[in-house]
Amino acid sequence: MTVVADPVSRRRRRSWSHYAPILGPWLILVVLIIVAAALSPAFLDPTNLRNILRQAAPLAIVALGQTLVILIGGIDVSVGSVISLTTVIGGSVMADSNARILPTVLTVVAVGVVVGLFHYLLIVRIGTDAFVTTLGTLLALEGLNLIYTGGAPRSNVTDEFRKLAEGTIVGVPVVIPLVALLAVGLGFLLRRTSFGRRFYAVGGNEAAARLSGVRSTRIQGTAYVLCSVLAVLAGLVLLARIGTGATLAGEGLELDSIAAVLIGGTVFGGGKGGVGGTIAGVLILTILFNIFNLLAISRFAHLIIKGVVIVVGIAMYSRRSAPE
Amino acid sequence: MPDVAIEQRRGSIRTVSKWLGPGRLWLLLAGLVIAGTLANDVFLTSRNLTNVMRQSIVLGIVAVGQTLVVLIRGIDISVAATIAMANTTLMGIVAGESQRLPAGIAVALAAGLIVGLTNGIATVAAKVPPFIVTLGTASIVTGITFLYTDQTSFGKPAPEMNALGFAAIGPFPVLFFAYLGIAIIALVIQNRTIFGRHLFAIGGSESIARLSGVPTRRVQLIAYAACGLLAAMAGVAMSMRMGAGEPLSGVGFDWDSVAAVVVGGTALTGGQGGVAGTVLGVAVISILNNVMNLMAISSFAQIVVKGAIVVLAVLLSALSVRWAATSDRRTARLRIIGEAEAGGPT
Repeated sequence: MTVVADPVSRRRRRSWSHYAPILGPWLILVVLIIVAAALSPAFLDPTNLRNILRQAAPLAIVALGQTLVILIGGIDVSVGSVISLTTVIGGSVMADSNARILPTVLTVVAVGVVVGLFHYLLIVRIGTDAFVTTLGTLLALEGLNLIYTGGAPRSNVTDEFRKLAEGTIVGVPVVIPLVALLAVGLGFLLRRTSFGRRFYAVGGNEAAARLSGVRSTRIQGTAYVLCSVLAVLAGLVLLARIGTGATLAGEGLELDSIAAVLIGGTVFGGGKGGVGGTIAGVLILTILFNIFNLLAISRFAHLIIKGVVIVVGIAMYSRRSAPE
Repeated sequence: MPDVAIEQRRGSIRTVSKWLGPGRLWLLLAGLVIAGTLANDVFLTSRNLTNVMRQSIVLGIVAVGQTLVVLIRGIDISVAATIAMANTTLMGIVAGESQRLPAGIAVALAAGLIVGLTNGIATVAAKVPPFIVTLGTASIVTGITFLYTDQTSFGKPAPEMNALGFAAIGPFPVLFFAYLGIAIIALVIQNRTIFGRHLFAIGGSESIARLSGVPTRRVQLIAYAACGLLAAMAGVAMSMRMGAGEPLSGVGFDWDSVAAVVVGGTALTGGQGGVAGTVLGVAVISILNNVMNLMAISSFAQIVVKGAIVVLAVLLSALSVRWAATSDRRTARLRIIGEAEAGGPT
């Protein structure tokens, strides 16, 4: 089943460097939880833990999509704008009517599909640079969003819809099983189906994959479309949580999602990594933000520490996986 | 031999575009000027053109630095944070006192150089993708700037600064000459020095450059350091026209500078393009912004247009790579025909 198994990786199978990208993020997460519990007694409080999971949900959903795109050797920085746009379209299309929840969801998912197909057309078919192309979409969607709303928030969201984020099932927030389902589903797809293995093949060596009969453009297109659609889902969850569609609701999530994916051990440039690490990366980032809040560390110091974590975290894996 | 003639013609076109930028950008620029003149009466007045030049100074200086980094297949998105840091540091140190001006400028530039060196070291030594490194340093530098200024307007310029910022010789702002000077120095370094050749060699293929004896690490380090320094210079230039340091003054210059470089024809895959194209790219973006302002197009719509420009620029860049591949094939075919006529390969 392993499409990408080569003699080198088989030889290294039992060494630490093979396991580091997979176990590394989870080890860091465990250490972080221990440190957090030691630093602040409030951390292990069930309410606080529930809050962390709720906060992590939108980031986790975007980061899952981002994982797919980075796995095939791309990147999508437009997700922040897609999320913001989802919240404002959702906030106005719903128009305080429960009957319109389904049409709302369909509308925003359609928007996501269109954005993803646009990326497929330019990046995959024509061969434009992924980073700059999605940057263009980021700007264009932000502008469209501002024109559409005039910068004013939209908050015609029904209480039923808000239960998506606020409601609980036996004490567990509804979003948690949702995210878990998405993560396990994608993980199964990537690890256990031949369709999923092709993502690794394309990311590892696109030309080799193509010559082996993988329709690489189709795989890359699927990754971009799924990434945009997952960003839309993240936008819906975010809308349910904050109850207001805001122009800048998704700002920063593009960078946080990329950071979570890379901290989770998926390699920039594609071919290595996976969904499990990304979830660990999301939890690391969210817990880090939570500790800052609990310790009342200045919001500005957040930025500094976040930057250090990103650079040092990535440097750790990069040195291990670097050639030579 | 037909291919020799083709190669010679191509060679001379390359020499011209190395110094003056690609011809298609001149066409685009001419088209824009004509469109601007037709669309608005004010556009072609000397007062408005002075404005266009003023607005292009800061973007121009950052974009020149960004070009050096993109040429070696890197990218620096920490420039926006560096601009704001240089701006607030300078204003904070000067605090309205003329005699502190040299110290303020020195510290601001040194701060930019340190950010650039950090980017370079992390990229070269730790082999972290430049996008991630500079994302991280951008976050760190912004955090430091916010802590330093408490995210409010900060410091005060010396009177000489604003005098210089608003000074003009005829219709030409004095600082515009500073920008042109920087661009010309960068052009000479790019086209006439070994370092410049090394930039293109590394952008073309880092491993081949290394195997050919190019000190790849040193060249990359210098490129990132220069980009940080130029971003700080842009921050200093920006300060000349401001009444206080603003912690958010750099916002947008990261993407704008990348856009100017890409519009200017430098490929993000490195090794192609150069400073001359970037100067034209900056002119295109500045004129476009100016015309949109004159026509009172809403700032929201301008963001959409900016996004569309970025997408169009990468589209053109990708298509031009394809066209180059096709024309290379054509040259190869001509060569084969020529050789066949001359009686087979010798």
